[in-house]
Amino acid sequence: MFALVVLAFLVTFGLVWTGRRKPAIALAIVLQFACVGLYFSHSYQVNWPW
Amino acid sequence: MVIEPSKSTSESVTVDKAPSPKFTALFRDSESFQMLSDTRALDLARGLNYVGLVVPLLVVLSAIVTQVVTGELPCAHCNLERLAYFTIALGPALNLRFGIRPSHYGISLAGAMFLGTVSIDMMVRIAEEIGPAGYGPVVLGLHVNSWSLIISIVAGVGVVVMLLWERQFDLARPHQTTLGRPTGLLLLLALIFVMAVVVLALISAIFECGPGICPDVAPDTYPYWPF
Repeated sequence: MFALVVLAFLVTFGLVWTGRRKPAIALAIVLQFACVGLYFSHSYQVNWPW
Repeated sequence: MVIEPSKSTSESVTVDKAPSPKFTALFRDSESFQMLSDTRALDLARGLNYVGLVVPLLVVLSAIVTQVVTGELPCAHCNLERLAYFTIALGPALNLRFGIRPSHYGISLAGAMFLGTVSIDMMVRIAEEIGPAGYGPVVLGLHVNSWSLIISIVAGVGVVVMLLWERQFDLARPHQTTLGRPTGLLLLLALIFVMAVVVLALISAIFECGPGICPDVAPDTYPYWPF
């Protein structure tokens, strides 16, 4: 899953290279959600002082 | 009852902004602050974007080199930080390829926010579980994770400053750079470097994380190394 996200970043830079601006931006936005998802997928426990 | 259009609003829209190198122009609507010629301002914007494109990937490259040399694999947070560095570099890549736009800076800002969030989160965990001794390699007196937090703040402030510099958006449109133009070679080399670093990170991720998410605790050896 993580490697897939890294691969998607490679594709995004490839889209920039080949001149596809809007697909690159769209994929970048999707990847941001994927990054947040990966962040929450880890099972660390911190006693946040809410 | 006839509602007359607001005179002050109408005037504020139609005023001619005279360029002025004086700092007082920053506080007057009738003047626009301009210290540099159009060419120099564009070169400055382009140069800063090259810095924004290459520096985050240099950080990731140095992390990968350290990983290979010392054999110390990155933790899950460290891998997430690499993704944040890629996102920060995406904005300048878009700017240099398609012309400077606020939306491109927005992507970098999202990356800076994500990098800051992950770095702070990791610092809290380290403070709870390890304490002041810290975790990971030390560079120039600070742990690499602390450097990530500092870089995220610098990147965030840098993007905000660039967004406040409105003149670049007027300059950039007629002078858009493409790979086929004279500035294209430098951009081509920069993009090749960026994509090469992403490929290295991808190889590392495949051998460390496999098809799933990365292990919470950094393993001693690559779990998916086939040899």
